[in-house]
Amino acid sequence: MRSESDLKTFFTALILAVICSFFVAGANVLLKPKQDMNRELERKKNILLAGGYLHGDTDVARAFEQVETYMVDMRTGEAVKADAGKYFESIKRLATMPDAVHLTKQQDLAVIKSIPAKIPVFIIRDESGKINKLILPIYGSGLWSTLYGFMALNSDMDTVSGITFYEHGETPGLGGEVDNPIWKAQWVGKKIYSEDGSVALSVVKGGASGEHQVDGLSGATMTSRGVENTVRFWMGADGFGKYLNKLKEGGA
Amino acid sequence: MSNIKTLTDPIIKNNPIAVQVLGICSTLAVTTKLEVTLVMAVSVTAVVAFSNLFISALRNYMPSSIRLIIEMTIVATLVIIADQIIKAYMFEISKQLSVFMGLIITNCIIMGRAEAYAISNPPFKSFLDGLGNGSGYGLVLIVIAAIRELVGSGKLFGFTIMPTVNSGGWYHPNGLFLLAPSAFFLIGILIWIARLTVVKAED
Repeated sequence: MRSESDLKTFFTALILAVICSFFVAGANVLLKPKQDMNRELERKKNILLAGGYLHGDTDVARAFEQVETYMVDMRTGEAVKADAGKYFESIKRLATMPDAVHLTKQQDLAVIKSIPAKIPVFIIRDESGKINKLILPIYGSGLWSTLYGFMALNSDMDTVSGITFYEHGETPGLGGEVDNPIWKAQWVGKKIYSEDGSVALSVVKGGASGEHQVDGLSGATMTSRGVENTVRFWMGADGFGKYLNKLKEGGA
Repeated sequence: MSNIKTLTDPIIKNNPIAVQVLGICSTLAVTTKLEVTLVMAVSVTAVVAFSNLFISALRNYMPSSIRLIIEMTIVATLVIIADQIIKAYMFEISKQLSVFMGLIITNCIIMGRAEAYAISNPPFKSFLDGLGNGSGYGLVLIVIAAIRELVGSGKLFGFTIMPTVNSGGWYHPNGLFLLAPSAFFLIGILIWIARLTVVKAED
């Protein structure tokens, strides 16, 4: 075995590390705008998809023009018409800002610790100006990753119009099946709330029946549970509950 | 060994999956759809070819005490770059590949070829060896993906070949073929065939 001086070993490692990091950083900087564009388009697609407005050859940018964006104050449930801005690029940062809403263990069903103070929601109205679809961004922990998605409600603020996930790192073929259109189609038409106004929707293992139950993904118990808890959190009082109540009372 | 043999040998005769039995894990994971599989095969080929090239070019300068770390760093850099490119230009596919793109780093073929070939051969030959092994890997992946996609969902490259019952056709898809165990059976059969024909002919 050849013997090398420690110094040579050190400098070889150093030079290689610098060169490699240069390439990695370069690829990242050069390709980021394109990747961000892809993500934004993907998000808009998912918003339309959740609301049932996306069909085979829909022009996403054009179809998105009819979507109104409101920023909801998560503490009060008040909403003002505003642009979503950089919300989706910086959810994690916003959730750790001083004004973020911290969740207690009991509240934190989705296992996300804290949520941003203001969260955008999307509304699609019919010709008479009444709310047709309400699309809410949701996120929560699955098995490996945080799942980011949208939950769309019909005008009664109770019936699910659609659910989609635009970003997650669950196991392809198992938990990754949250993207499966057949599984997502199960959600359509389910009711979220029971008679007394509490969240009743649940994901069950086999034999889902009635309007409050969705079949879990086989081989993905933890992901299914994560999705259930995510939905229960965001639809509950600590999520969009206050905002939904305001909408039901006074219209928007 | 001639350059051409260096390139073509690993495709069939010394196939990394069927004969060397390297890189099985990703073969199980990313062979449910041809389109995704093809991107994976091309990415692995590019990564193994270039990692062989760089590792071979640096082979005389690497201090032996940190040889493996340096190889890992080069491979990781290449994988990250490949991952970034796919995320930028093939977004739909990158979503389906998800973690498996990053996991190319752990694909045994890459470190296997670096250690078994690139470390003791000149750069150009190592590059060809990488291309050959990548193609051999890709070939097996594509064969398995074609069988799985056809039997599992009645499609090839996303085009319907046999209309399934779910979409109003006559074909009852065999769901087992979309799950990882089916790839185990298929690889097993493939290795058996390879041993019977290619390897036996050599003995």
